[in-house]
Amino acid sequence: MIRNLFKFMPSIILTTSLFILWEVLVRVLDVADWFLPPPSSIIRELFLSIDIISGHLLTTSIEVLLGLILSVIVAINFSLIIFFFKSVEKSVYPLLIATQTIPVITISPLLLVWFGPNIFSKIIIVAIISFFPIIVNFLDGLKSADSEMIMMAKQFGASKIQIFYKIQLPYSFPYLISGLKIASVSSVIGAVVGEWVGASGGLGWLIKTSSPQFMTERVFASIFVLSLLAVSLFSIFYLIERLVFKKYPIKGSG
Amino acid sequence: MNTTLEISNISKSFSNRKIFERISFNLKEKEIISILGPSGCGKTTLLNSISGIDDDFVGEIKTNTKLKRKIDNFSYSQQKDLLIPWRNVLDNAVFGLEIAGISKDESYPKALSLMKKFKLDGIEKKFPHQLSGGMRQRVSLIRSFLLERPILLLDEPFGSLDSITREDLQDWLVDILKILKLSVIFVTHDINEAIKISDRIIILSANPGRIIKEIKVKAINDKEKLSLYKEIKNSLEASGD
Repeated sequence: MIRNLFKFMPSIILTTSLFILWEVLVRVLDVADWFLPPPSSIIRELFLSIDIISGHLLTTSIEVLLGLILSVIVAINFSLIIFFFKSVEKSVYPLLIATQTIPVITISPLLLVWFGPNIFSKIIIVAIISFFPIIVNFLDGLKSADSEMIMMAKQFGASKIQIFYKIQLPYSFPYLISGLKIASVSSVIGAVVGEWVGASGGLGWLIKTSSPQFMTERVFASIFVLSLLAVSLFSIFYLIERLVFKKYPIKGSG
Repeated sequence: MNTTLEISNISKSFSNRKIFERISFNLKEKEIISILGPSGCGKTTLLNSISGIDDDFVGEIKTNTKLKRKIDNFSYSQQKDLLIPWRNVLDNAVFGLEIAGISKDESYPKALSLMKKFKLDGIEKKFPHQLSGGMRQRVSLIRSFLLERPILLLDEPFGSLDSITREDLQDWLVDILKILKLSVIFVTHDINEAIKISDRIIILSANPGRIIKEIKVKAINDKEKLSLYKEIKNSLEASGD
C-alpha cells in the first residue's frame, strides 16, 4: 500500500502543485468566480450541492454501467464469431471499421428519435462508443497467440476447442483488458454525449444546464465527478489486470 | 529387435526446391538415431513430416504400433522449449495429459514422481520465466516424456543453450533414455552430441538433404571417438560445397 502510494507520488505532487498554482493565480489576478472559480470554490460547491450532484451521478453511472455491460457482451460474442468464421471477418469487419469513422455525436439525435429521450438511447450510445476498442483489442489478442505454441498443442493432440481455451484465449487476455480500460473511459464520454443531446438528468445534463446560468463552480464540480467516475472504472479493470497477472504471468514476467 | 518406424523413400519439395530426397531408414525399438547434417539439409522439415504435423510429402512412413492417429505415436520436442508462460512447471508438465483428458488427481502425482526421478523436484510451483534456459528445456522434455508415446523426436533440443549447460543436459538425457527405453530420433548439427547420445548416426547432405552415410556407434573409448569424429567430419565436408 505504502509502496503503491510512493509509485503515484510524482503524479500526486504535480496535480497538487497545479491546483495550488490555479488557486493562487485566480486570487492574485482577481478573476471572477463565474469566469474561472478557484479550486477551493469548486470543492465548496461539491460539498454544498452533494445531494444534487450525487443524484445525477447515479443516473450517469447507471447509463454507463448498463451500456458497458451491453457493449462487453456484444463485442466479445462478435469477436468470437469473427475469429471463428473467416467469411464473417472478410465481409463484416471492414464495415465495422468504416462505421467507426462516424462521430457518435452525429448519430445520437437519431438514436434519440428512435429510442426516445430515456435511458435506452444513452445505453445504446455508451455501447456504441465502447464497443470498438473491445472488439479490436480482443481480436488482435486472439490472433496474437504464438504459432509455434499452437503447433506444439496440435502435436500433443489438442483439438481446435482445446487450443482455443488453453492457448489462444489466455494469450488474448492482456489485449482484452486493454480494450476494456479504453472502453471504460470512453463509455463516460458516451453517456455525457447522450445526455447533452437530450435528457432530463445526469451529469452531462447538469453541466449543460448550469453553464448558461453562470454556475461555473457547479460545472467544474460535475466535470471533476465525471472524471472520478471514469478513473474508478479504469481502476477496476487495472486491478483485475494486476490480480490476474500476479497469479498467471501471461506476458512471461510479472 | 522389432522395427517401430519404417521410413521408405520420402521426398519433399517446396515451390520447386527440393528440401530432402529419397530418405529411407528404419528405427528399431529402443534405438536412438541421430540425424546429423549442416543447416539447410531439411532436418526440421523431415521431423515435421515424420511426426505428422506436415503430411505434404512423397513416400511412405509406417509405424508399427496399434495407435489410431499417427501423431499419437510421437512426442516432439524442439529447440524452443515452448513452455506456456502462465502455467507453473507442474501445470506445464501435465499439459499433454490434460489434453488427453486425464484428471489432475492422476496426472499431478505422475508428473511429480517423474520429476523426482529425474532430479527436477522442488521447482514445480515456479513459472517458466523464473527458470534458466537449461531448466526450461528439462521441463519441456519431461512434458514430452509424460505423454508416454513410443517414439520421441528431438529437434536440436539443446541448440540454444550455452556449452556447459548443454553438456549437462546431454548427460541428463542419456541417463533418462536408459531408463525410459524410448525409440528416439535426435536431430542435431553437433557431431560430438550425436556420438554421445545415439546408437546410430545418419548423415545428411545439404540442399537437398540426402543420406550420405550411416554409422553405427558402439561403446567406444576416447580414441575411437576421435576417429569417428574425423570420419563424420570428412564425409560432411565431402558432401558440402
